[in-house]
Amino acid sequence: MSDYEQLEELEALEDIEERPFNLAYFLRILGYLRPYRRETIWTALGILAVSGVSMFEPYLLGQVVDQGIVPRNPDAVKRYALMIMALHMLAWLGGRTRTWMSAVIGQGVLYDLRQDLFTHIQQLGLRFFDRYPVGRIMSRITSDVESIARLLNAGLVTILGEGVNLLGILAVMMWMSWRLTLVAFVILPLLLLIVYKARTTLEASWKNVRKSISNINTYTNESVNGMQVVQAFAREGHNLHKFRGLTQSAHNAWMQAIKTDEAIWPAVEFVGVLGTGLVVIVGGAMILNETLTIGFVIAFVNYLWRFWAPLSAMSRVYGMLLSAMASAERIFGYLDTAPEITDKPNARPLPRIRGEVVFDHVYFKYNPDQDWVLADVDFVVQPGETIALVGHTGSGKTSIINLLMRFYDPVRGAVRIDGYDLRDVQVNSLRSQMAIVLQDGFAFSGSIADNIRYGRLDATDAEIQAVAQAVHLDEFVQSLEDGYAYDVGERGNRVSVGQRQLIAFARALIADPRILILDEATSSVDTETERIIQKAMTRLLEGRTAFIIAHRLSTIRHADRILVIDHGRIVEAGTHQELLARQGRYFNLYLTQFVGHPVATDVEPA
Amino acid sequence: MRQLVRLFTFVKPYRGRFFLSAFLMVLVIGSDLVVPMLFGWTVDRGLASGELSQVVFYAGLLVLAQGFKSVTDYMQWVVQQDVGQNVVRDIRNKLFERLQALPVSFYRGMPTGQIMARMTNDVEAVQEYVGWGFLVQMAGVMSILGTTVILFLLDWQLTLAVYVPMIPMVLVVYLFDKRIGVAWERVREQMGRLTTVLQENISGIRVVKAFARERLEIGRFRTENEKNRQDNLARLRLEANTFPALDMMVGLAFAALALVGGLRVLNGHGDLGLFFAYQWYLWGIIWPLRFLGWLISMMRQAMAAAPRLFEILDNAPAIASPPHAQKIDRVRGEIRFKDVFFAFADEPDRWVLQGLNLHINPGEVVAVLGSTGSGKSLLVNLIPRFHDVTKGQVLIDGHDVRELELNSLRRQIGIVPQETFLFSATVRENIAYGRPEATLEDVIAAAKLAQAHDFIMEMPKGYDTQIGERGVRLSGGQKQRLALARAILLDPAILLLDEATSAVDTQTEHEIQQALERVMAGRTSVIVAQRLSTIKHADRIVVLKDGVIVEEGTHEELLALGGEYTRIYELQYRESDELAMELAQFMESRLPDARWSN
Repeated sequence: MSDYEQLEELEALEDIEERPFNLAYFLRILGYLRPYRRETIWTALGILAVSGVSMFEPYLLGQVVDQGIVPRNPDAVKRYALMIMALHMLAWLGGRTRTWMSAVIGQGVLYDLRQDLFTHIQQLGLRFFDRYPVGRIMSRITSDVESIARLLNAGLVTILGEGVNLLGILAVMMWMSWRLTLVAFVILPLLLLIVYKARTTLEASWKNVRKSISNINTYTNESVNGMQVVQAFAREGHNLHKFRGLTQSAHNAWMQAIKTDEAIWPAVEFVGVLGTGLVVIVGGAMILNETLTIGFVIAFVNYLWRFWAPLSAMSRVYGMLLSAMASAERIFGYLDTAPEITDKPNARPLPRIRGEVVFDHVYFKYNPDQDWVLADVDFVVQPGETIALVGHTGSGKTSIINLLMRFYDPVRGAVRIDGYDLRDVQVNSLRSQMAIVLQDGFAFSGSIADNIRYGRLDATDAEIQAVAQAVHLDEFVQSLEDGYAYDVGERGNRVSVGQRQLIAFARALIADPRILILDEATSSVDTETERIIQKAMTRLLEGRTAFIIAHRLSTIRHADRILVIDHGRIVEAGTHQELLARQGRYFNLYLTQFVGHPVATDVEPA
Repeated sequence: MRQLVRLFTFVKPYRGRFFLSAFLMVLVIGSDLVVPMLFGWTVDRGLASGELSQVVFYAGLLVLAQGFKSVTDYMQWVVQQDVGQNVVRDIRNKLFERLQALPVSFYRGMPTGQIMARMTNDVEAVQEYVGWGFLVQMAGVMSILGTTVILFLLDWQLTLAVYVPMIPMVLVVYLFDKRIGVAWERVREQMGRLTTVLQENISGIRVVKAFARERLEIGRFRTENEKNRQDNLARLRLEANTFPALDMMVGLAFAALALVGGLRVLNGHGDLGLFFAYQWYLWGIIWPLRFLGWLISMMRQAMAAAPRLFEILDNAPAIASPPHAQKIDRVRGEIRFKDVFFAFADEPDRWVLQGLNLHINPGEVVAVLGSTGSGKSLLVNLIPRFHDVTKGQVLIDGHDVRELELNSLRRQIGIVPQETFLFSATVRENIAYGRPEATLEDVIAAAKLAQAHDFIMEMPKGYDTQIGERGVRLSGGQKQRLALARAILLDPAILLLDEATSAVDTQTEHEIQQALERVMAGRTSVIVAQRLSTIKHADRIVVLKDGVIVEEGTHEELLALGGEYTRIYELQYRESDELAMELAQFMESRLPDARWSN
């Protein structure tokens, strides 16, 4: 299955709230318990202790009556009371062990699964990130992971604990009197029917609830992100109306679910009392026949009473299991997405780059049913050369950069640096010698200094200031009270787009890259700064190979060579002068840019 | 506690149902108290009487009482959940309403992830408590009180003996309550940090990969992940220290009952029936006590969440219509900035604008030029009141914008921002965003004017094509043109373009320029741009520097002035001049060429 197809399949899993039980996934989930074998055993022991107490207590109480009170034996009363006391001390230890150990397991699994997912995702190619919105990937790592941890923690504790209870109680009851047990269980089919019927409708109802809440969250998220547009277009009233509709339907869905859900326990309790009544009557008859003692019947009824609650609790775990299955499918879907770009087993580190770049008859497309995004792209760049890529939006400029950075691999042909095929070298050794400045100049929350230092982690403050000066950022930073410690906010939203670009520039420069890529890097800075950067660049680009994508001819005409790209092909290549002389595509672009220029109007062609 | 009281002001509209639910609860607990009595009777008067008919009679009563209890219990839960759900819905609606009313400056200080965490996790914590925990708590208190009264009436000496082992619970609960609130707050805050790190990593993945910083990011995430685990474990340790201990003390009460109760029956201070009834009644205090720790945890969780919600609600929208605001129908489009000063609230000492004066006539096209950070965008954002001036005034047709009804003001203004935001909806819905009732013809007309119609028709479903996160991806230029169409459809008197074309290629910019020329006719327009090519056709150009206007006039006037504008002009056109010369020479040399003669 190709990478592309795999992502297609993942996409289909998005909206699914529940999946039927799947043994393979379940075993894989259980696999996350492996590092916590000891804790699991302790939890089980704790559960046994707690369940044991709840099993023995009614028996002992019965003994207090039958051995102590009825035969008027105060010693027996004291003995059994002490035993009850001891039992509860044991339950305390057991309960503490169970609660703490299951917490360690639950949090451990949560941590491991999150870390695994995050680590794995870091290795996935850009194809994955281009495909999925940020919010979706995030909900994998936050909520889906939680739903699995919940199953392993609360779910397993419940199943184990209540299961032991059920079996134990059943065994005790059978042992005490199999006849009374049969009497009590006359109503069992009725009970199971209630629980089963209700659960089935209930699952559907809770699914609606989750769906309606996720609709609210999606809508809120989009509204918050686009708030300025909402306000600019005075849509608040309209949107609030829509939001109210969403919350109302969540309310309705919830009430519908609750009407079934809340009926279960009273119904179970009622049917349970019916059973108890039967037992009391039959038991009463047996006492009258003197086959049973009062204490016995009391103890028996007490057991019976404790039988119903676990049933209800266990049926809840079932719902937990189904939603964990849906989460597991999505999480494992991510984990099973093989990183597209990996080091070959015999990959070597790329030595210090001289800067010769070769595109050897490269063909490329992002997905199989697409036309070629790059077709037979073939060029050689000499070390130290500055190459400008020119072409319309969508012509393939960025794809060339994506291949050069090895964000993607070519479908056919090869990309080579200094003679090394990029697929044969270690990715890190390649990328750490390159730097890119992107159009949107992304910044991480944190200080300006930290953002620049991202390019080279051991850079000193002096070095940071030096590059900031080179890209004309220092002056702005000095005007800030916190200086380089100024927090740029989430995604850098406390500085302007232009300033963000300058930060990105500084970040690229401090990395001292052998190959520098500028992807519309100065589109949002003002003319003066752009000029200063350009001037600085000529110095900074010395001895480095550089690729520049820009729309403005003023930015690119000084490049050593210009590649004109159109529909994924290099249609022209050469210096500014050569291309002008050719009067082809470049010449036309050049003319377009002059249309509307004040100077150009003065030199209208005769 | 204040938080809790405030949370319950949301219950006020539903007080009728709330009290009904409380009343039903009294009935439930009442029948809970009757059932053990009936049980005791079944033993004493039924089993002890030796007559089966008596046993059947009392067992029947028992079943009837339980039936009543079950039905009442059910009704009570449904009514209670209804109240809780109404409250949660109201809180959500109120939060959303407030979020929409809060100004841009609010979003500057609070990351999206933070807001979302509050709208989801915190609302759910409150929902759990208001919709459920609170009533269980109430039921527990009532059950304990009712049961205690009955137990004392049954046998006060035995009751004293049974209650003594439970005294240390007070201390355990007190200590737990004191610590769990803080523990929950830590957990919530840490989860917020983890989410933020995650969100930034994913949105900045291109940068991460380009700098081969995956390992750094994994380490950064591991730190937050580990802190998250530790904080959660700290909370769970409190629970593990408390819950089983509470269970144990309740169990000791049971042992005390067996011992003291048994001996008392032996000594003739009561009969067996009383002993059994007593044992049953004891459950009435046992279940609330067992739940106690857990309920406190839930309450504290809600109390940690509530302030985070109130923080949003208490953010008075700094920007809102004043009372008796004046509605405006159609402005002429005169804009005046009078001595405008501006500083962001979180950086009050850094003046972005200082004493700016500008008068724009109706129908005039004014371009604003200035370096990065000179305050150009801000100037534009003051007109629709995305920010309010710190000092001075912005006037439209002579009205201070702060005195106008906000919606009516914004309906007059069409904005095309630098970063286009499109919603996950169809092309048509996106264009009609400001006028949802617009006909398809109107939408198409606006799209044509914005040069967007052609590419829209090339999409799979034309105007019904889904765009945004889950739909067709658009190029920067296409997005800009849709944003332009969206603004045009409003037929605004004032058009604001904030670097609307800086991200598109020359060809597209050229197309948008052409569209703009038609759109701007008859409207007051303010254009922020860096490229002189974008702005040179403006009626007037103002040059902004350090928060004041340093030059203004037409292109020619400013050039004649030889100041800042000329300097920028030269920077941008020195090369162009060279290029132009080059072109002129080039063309001269080719003049004989037939291609240039026609």
